[in-house]
Amino acid sequence: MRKVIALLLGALVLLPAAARAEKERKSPLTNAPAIRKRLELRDKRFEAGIGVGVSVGQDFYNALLVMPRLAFHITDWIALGVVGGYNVTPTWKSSFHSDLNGSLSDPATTKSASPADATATMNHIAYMAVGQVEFLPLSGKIALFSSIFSYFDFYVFGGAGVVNLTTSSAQPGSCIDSNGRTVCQAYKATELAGNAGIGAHAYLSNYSAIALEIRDLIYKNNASGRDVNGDTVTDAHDLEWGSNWLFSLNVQFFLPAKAKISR
Amino acid sequence: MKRLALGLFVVLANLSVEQVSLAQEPEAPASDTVGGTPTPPADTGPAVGPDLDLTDLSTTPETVEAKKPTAEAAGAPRKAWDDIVVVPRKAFLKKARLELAPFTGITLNDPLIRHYSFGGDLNYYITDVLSIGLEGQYFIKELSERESLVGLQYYRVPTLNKLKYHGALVFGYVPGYGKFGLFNKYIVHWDLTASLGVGMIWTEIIPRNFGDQSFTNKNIAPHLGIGARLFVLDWLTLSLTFRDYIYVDTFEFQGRKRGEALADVITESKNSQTQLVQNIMMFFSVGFYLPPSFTYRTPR
Repeated sequence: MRKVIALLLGALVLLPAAARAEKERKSPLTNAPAIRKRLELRDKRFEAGIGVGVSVGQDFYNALLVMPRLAFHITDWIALGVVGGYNVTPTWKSSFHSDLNGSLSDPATTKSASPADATATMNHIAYMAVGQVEFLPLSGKIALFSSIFSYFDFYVFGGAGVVNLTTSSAQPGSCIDSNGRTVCQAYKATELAGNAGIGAHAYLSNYSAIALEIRDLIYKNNASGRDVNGDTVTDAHDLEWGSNWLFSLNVQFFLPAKAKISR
Repeated sequence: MKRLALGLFVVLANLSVEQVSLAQEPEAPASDTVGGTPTPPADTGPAVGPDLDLTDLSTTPETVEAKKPTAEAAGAPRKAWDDIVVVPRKAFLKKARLELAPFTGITLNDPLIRHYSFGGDLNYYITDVLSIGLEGQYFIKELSERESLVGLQYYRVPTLNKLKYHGALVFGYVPGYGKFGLFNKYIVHWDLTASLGVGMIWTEIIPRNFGDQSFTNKNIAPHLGIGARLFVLDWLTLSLTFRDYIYVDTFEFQGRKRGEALADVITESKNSQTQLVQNIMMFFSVGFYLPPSFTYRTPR
């Protein structure tokens, strides 16, 4: 009986002690950073490069833009950037534009414009320039085909800028009706634009990378240059906010060329 | 009496074991010292306790290098994790597993009509990077504001088709596998996915005149896809995918008259109003894997 009591006493003391010891045991990796000896490819570095962008889902004209991009990375995860774009294909019609022109009669009827007059009031992007704050929370490595290894990062960005809208043709005479009212008018202006999107760098080396960005430029426009609100005249009341998507691919170079290595 | 003495001895022995086990934890290993300087006893020197001060992670390597001699001179031990090499295994294995992935998607490149898609993928992974599967989806259409303005601005009604269903046999490939650090605190694994599929898409014309009969097209539609997949749990993934469906579709022909026989409309449309269509779509999907767990076949 005494033996049993003694063993029970022993167990009562031993078990909590063992449990406490287990609780207080810490992994040697506690508080270690997730990645050690990491290449800090962005921290305090400038980034400059050039690439091409293409619009998606534009009403009348697609745009292929030459897009320079410059950024300074304040830390490894936040950067300030500016991006420009110049449209090198101002006459690249969308399929909808071609279909619409094909359905319009020439010469114009009393109700519908001729293809040439309709085209004359349709605007397109001439150039754009935006500033953006970039937030880069994700960075890592990828193995392509188990043989090519590359560093990469993902980021989101937001900012503002301007978009210049223009047309290639002069205002057609048919845009002024017999009562002297403006029934159509190409919208040519430099509009303030919101700029938001996501992007990624795929590093080719410690000092160069491919940058892919998908951005939405949000600005007021009347792409057709015709009545939108149904008041039969075309004026500032016909402007509407809209999304304009751009995909871009850039080759970027980083300065200084040497990247630091973290602990 | 002997038994009582034995019992008391066991109790005392346990108490001493507890004290030893607690006392051992904070002690820094002697081999962790730099430059061969022995670690001072925990109660007399600046030995590092179990809670290491790693708050200053922003310190640059140059600064670290500069600080090192001082630290070494003081005989301070290195951080416990400095000498441990960690090579994480691939976080997720797919070979011989079935993936059921319901998805939702949206068309991106048509300014006049937008389609929302609801469907699913069923894939079987032959290897960790190759899969074969089936894809099926149902579409819901939405006409855009631009579509409604065409009538007001040009006195025309657009010729449009709506998407109805799509089904395909799909071959998948994983060209890239990666991991990223979230603020250098958490590691998340992901892979790149590519797919090539061939299937059938059902479309239906939207008659320009209300009341006219519509007809349905069945088009062979190959597609290409590329995407990224995040591994969340052993049986759960999240994916973002872009797919480009390419097919030749038949639209309502331009000269259709009121009351014209549908068979004639179909014939005339097939003869004069076919067009190559590209539908670029973006999908978000959640993947469920069976069996829900996997076993590594190589040692850690």
